[in-house]
Amino acid sequence: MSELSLLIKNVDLSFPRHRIGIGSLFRWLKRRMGQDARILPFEALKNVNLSISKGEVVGIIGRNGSGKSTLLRVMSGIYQPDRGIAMSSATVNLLSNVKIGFNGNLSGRENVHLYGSILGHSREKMTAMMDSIVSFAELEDFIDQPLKTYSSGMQARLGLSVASAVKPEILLIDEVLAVGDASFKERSRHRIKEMVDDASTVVIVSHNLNYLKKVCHRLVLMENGEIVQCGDPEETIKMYNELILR
Amino acid sequence: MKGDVGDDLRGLTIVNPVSKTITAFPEALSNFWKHKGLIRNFTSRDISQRYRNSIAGYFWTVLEPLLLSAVYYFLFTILRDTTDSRLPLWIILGVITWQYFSKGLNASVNSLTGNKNMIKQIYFPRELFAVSKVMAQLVVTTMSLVVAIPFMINLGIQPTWQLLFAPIALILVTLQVLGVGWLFAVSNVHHGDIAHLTRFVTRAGFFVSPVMWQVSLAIEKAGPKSYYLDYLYILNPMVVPLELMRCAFDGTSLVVPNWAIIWSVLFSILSVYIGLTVFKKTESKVVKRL
Repeated sequence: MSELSLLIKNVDLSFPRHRIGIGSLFRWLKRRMGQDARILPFEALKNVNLSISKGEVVGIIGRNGSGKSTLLRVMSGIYQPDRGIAMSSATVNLLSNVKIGFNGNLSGRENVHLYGSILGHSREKMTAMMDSIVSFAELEDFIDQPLKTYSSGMQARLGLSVASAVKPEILLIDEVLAVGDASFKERSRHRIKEMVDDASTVVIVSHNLNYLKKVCHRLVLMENGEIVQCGDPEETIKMYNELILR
Repeated sequence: MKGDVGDDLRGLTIVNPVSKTITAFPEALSNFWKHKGLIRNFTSRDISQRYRNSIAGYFWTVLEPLLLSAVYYFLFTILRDTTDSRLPLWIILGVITWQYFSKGLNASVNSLTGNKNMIKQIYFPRELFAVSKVMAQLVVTTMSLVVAIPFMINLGIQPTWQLLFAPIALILVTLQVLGVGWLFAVSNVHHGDIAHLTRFVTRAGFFVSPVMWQVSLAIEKAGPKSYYLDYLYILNPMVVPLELMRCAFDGTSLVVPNWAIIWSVLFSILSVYIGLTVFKKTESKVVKRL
């Protein structure tokens, strides 16, 4: 077996359930007096085990709320698991579908620098890569405009462009490929293929099964916070379809 | 079937491990150094966007305390009928120092709840949010202090070695704001009351602390009977920084007792230690609640 890049071992993670509305002091008193049942936490990940080798492209599929995004966040260190361990061989870059910590009042260029420094890259490195980032995102005319003037597709393009330009060793992609027009999708596919050829590790969460079938070596199917199937893409997709129809 | 988990852990490191109580503080400190570029970037972003779209621009750093002080000055001269010519300088220094405390504290208390989108999408040490906010406020405060120069010239005050008190005062405030801020930031995620409470404390504290008045005045007014009350107000850790700031610029000697200085320094250091340790220890639980 080749060298490991990501290892998730016996990971449990649960979220406290939020109580809606104000008046928590009253609720707290009630609970103290045994009048109000304690709300059980929501178990988002249950004993998840997954190992991913260097250069592997793994897709994660599953229904909404099955724990796909949470798993990616554990891999990237955003959530620390309640039990178990998450390990990686290099820094993990997560690219999420929601707008990244981009700041609307700053220009695209400033945001690239900001994002770069969050990812841990020096200013010089980002300046050197600026042209390629901008041209990949096709934002030459807008890069010095404030980010709030960008469309959501443009922002996502910029995000993917920065996150992939730095050639991360491990890239986690959470449903970003759905944004952007056809030509951008094609180029981001190409970019991911390049990264795979560079032996980087890629984990993709997506609902686009056809796309996953094309790029992934392995697919992971999640249901209720558990991995129910992990392996051959065709077979996993078949299981997923059965699961949905059930 | 579930992905073979072998035991070949070569080259693997734990992603964002939970720190131990004892090592949490030094680890976090070394992280500041590692992420100094990020802190610088966040700080400059914060400052530059604050005065974007404004005609006066950075001039606002001076204008804001100046206008505030003018209002307070007239209000208090009417109420107090004082004759000391140094009062405008005192008020302006008090206002600038207090604004640093109040804005810095409120910003760091809200540093987790205000950045939840970013926190949920990318990992980097979250204590840096508060650091960069406070650093931005520190830069603005330092810029504001320029306003003291014309007052000093007008009063004919020669700068002395005591000017060194000013950075010491700023360091003390910085430590307090960060320490208490970290501690409150994690509690604020659980209970939104904390942010409201902080806003109240920073507003009420303005009057309780020697911003508009001076410790010398309090001692003068107090008389022998209110002896214990004397001690009580000096327990406010902001008293020493405010007095230090004043002495730095007007060259008079410090009237607060030595134990108050020790208390203030101790409070600042302890609050940073406890604040950062608690922050790092509870971080993993808090992030899930965001």
